[in-house]
Amino acid sequence: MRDVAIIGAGVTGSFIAKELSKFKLSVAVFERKLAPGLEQTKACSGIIHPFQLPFKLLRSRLCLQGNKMMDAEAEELGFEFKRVGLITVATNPLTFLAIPFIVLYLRLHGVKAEALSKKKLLEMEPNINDKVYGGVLIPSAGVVNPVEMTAKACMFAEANGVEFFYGCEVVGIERKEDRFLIKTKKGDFEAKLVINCAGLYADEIARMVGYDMKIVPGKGSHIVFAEKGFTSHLVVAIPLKPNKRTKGGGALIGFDGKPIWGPNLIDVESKEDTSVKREEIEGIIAKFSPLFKKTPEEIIAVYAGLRSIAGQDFVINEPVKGFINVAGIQSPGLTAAPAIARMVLEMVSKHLELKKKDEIVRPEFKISKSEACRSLEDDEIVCLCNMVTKNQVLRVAEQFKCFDAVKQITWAGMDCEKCKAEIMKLIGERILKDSEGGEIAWS
Amino acid sequence: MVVIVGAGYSGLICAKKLTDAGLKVRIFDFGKPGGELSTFSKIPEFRDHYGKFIDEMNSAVEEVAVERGCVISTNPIKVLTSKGMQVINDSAIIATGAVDRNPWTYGKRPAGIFSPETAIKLISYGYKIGSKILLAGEDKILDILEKVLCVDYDVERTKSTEVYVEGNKRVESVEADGEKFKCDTLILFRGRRTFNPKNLSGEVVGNALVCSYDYSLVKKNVEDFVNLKYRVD
Repeated sequence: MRDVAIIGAGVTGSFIAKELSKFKLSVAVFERKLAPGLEQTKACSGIIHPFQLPFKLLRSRLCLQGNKMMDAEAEELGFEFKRVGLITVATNPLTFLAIPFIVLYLRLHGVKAEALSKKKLLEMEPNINDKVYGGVLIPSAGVVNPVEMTAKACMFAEANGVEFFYGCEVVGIERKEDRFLIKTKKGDFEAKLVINCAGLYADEIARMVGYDMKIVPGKGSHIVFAEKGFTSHLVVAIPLKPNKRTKGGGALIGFDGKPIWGPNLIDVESKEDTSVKREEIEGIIAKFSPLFKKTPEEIIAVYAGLRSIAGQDFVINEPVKGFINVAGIQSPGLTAAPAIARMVLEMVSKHLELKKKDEIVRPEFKISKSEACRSLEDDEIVCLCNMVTKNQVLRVAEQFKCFDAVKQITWAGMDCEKCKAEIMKLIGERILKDSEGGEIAWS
Repeated sequence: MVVIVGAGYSGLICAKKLTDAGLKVRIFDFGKPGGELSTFSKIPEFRDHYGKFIDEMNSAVEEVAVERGCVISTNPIKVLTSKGMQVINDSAIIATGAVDRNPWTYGKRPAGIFSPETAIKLISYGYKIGSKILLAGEDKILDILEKVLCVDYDVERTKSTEVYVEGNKRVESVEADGEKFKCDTLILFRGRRTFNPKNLSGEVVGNALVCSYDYSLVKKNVEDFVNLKYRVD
């Protein structure tokens, strides 16, 4: 029997696993996909948010904490994290007048903010439209590769004894006297505590122990452009009237500097509906292009992710003794993940004695871009855009035996068409000869 | 001295002509020399179509010494080689070629969506890329590709590049121009663009400028470039 079972290896489950791995506990993680972070996490915007309004919400508190923790997390886990800063732009006289109040309001809540004159703003971001009035710089906003961040938390946890079961969907949970019986597609497991991080399906998992809640999928579409460096900050407009349900997206950038515009928020029926409509793309372009003198060059992808929404706030509770819900983790879940993990650790400590391990293993991470090869002697570059080498591709493929994981973690083949075929061949031949049916499956 | 970045058709022809004219030339490629024409030479239908250019290139390969190295910046030129980083204080000719624009679509993003470039490479490796294929877009390359594919696959075509894809794991159907095609694979051609991910600066020549599958245009560009710039006939 395990001490703790975590359901779901998205960013939330993975960070909880990582925190728990530092203690003398037996922990198992069950994930229905073949690798971590391939559902909600992979299709988010990859933004480490500086704050979340209104400040009274739990998700706002956890966002502020998580943002502050992110440098240390990136250092500990070895993922790339850049505080690129967010500029919120006044596009009309009314919002311009609000700037001093916004700056003061944010500072009162511990968020660094600085008013920018129009001149300063255009110096910092020359592509911004001359018609803007000014803006506010919030330097603590950052960007990550969400799947890399998640996968590295998993690798850390695994190196410290957490067991991961991929391709292992949970189909039922039975409550026994002092334990839970977790039925999965790969057999039954027992655990003293269950932590429900099942994202879009957290409501189905919660219902298995008799707790009724509803997760509503909120779709967010994005456009990825090729033109790296179009802006160097995340750029949004100050809204005249804030929307309670969404921050409204923005002209964002990815961790690699490519512009990512979006997301919008569309309520959808199905938890699998990640289809992008033409009107949505046109809507996003119409919304954000007035902020700039021109639109960035070359759309290279459009994608949609699903937020799991359970009302206005995160649902982190213990409805049944020993069953911890970490549900409704919508935006800013990526930012909040380290803080959520600390909070859950507290909840776990009420049930189990937490004894620190004498030694914590830091796995060797050699898939970071900053460590890209320095010589072609015993390696070769496969993806020139993102400087990914053959060995890096193979190393990730060995760990997570699926194409999507290699693509999302190494970022190989994410920019252009040049190396896609070669990467498919590389993975196909060396790793996946029989496991994925042999058919080329890569989009 | 001149440094040529990229040893595909354009880089090799340039290197040969400039060497013949008495210039000292170094030519680098981050992979094997031959560029996409070496891929084309592995598929009979493509070999037939591009034979003239392939032969011309192959004879150039024999005459110039291509160095394996990845040029990661210019001014000065920095090349990553098997012996580490080399720095060369010289000007560069950018012969990095073209790449297909990304085959993005509306709808879902299941497996089975390829650009012609990726599809051709996979076929040259000997892979079967699906069974029912829709070719979308308009270009001579799709006509050649259709000839290759119609032997082993069901092939349909549409001129539209604005397509809506359905399917969860794999493409199940594609809607284009008001028509719905049942297929498991989509090859979508949105045109080509310059392949220069390191933003190298220098004189751009060949397919990096032309951005086409029509190598007679590439050939003409390379010849004009060499004649004009270096007065070599």
